[in-house]
Amino acid sequence: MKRCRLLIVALCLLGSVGFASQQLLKETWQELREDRFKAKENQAETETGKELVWSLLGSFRYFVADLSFLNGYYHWQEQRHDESNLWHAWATSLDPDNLLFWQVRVRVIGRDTPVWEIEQIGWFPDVDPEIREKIFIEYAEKGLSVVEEALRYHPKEVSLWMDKGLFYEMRLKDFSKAAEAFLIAWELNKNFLPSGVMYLEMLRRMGDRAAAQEFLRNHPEFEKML
Amino acid sequence: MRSRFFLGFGVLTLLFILSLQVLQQINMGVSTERFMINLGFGGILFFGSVISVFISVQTLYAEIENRTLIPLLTKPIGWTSVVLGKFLAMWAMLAVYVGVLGWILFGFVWWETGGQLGFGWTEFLYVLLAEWFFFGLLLAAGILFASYATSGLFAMMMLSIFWVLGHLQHMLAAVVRNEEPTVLEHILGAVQWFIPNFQVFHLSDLLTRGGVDILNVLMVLGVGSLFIGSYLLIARLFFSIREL
Repeated sequence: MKRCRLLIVALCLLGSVGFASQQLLKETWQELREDRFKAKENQAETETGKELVWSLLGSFRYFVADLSFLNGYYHWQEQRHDESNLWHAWATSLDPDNLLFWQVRVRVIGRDTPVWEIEQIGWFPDVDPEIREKIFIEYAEKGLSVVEEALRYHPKEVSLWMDKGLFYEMRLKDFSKAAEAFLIAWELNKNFLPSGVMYLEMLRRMGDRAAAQEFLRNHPEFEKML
Repeated sequence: MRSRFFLGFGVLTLLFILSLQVLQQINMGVSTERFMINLGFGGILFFGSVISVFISVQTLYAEIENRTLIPLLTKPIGWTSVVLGKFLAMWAMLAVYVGVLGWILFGFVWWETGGQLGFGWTEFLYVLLAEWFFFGLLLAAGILFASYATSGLFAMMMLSIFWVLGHLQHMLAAVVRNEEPTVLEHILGAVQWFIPNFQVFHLSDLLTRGGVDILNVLMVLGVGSLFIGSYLLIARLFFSIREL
């Protein structure tokens, strides 16, 4: 009986300390959670698994991400695209702040993987152009979805916007979306000439001379750089 | 302090920190400072947790099994002094562990980056204090589990589960937000009130991402003190009715 009473007193004491601590640390924890787990209030269910792994690995997740990336690089050298993409995805999942992981993942899935797949069918020039086109489009769409995910963590990264524009321009032939992406890349870094050049090229392909002239009027520094 | 286990793990942690110079060869795309700070503190946390789990349970169990605790209780000191004394002694050991290895890590990172650190020594000190309080929590919980467990192995297993649940405490609240939570989900949701959120004690990633706020650290230390005091008080209650 004495033990039961003691246990009840103990549980009540702990419960009240736990409640008080949660109230005291509410704001501190919310800031830490958003920053550490990239989580927002009412986060979607699919992020729960990531938060679980990140919580248990702690600071080691960055090291595990590096090892995963190296493993993915090894499989890339062996042209095993499924394994390579899987390990690169794991690396970006563990350390989304690392830009290099995203850049490599986008380019492997969007540019290298379709070429390997075509080469598995046969000698590149001998494969039916329609089949080649279909494979390039399929992997360009996958690459685009990875770029969109990368832009969540690196919204001001010029190389990702350029990759997005190139996927739309080279594979999906959507010049208006490509132009949007190149324009954003230009606005982010006006010293990076290719983004401006590509934007003007997209306008030329769309036949939009007025927009091109407007761009050159608003950015006289561009003509000087050319 | 002369315990071989403690010294052995201390040396292991030191070797781990020194090996960061080699491990940074596989650093991909992040700064040396960030890589070494994250991995260094990861090592201190991992080995320190093992030390805390082991010494908090084994120290008391060895004394109970060897009956060396009984002569102590014949002296005019109460259970409060015994529990508090054991806790403070172990906590002091962990203070030496965190202090010595933490500042070795600081010096190592400072040397590797050529003195170009993105944070000051005071922010580093705050992070070390928070880690030390985390180990204090583990020690206090270990004493609590040892106070009612009948075997050391059981107490160590409970403490390991406590470590895992503490690091996932922030997710326990989410389980009862399901539309129709089951009984198990209700129990898991209730557990969050009895275990502190260990994630708030690990602030090393803030050193390289924006800075450590002293007010937040003080809140964390305050909460840690509340939990440590509660666990020790409950352990004292259980010890007083336990048969040795």
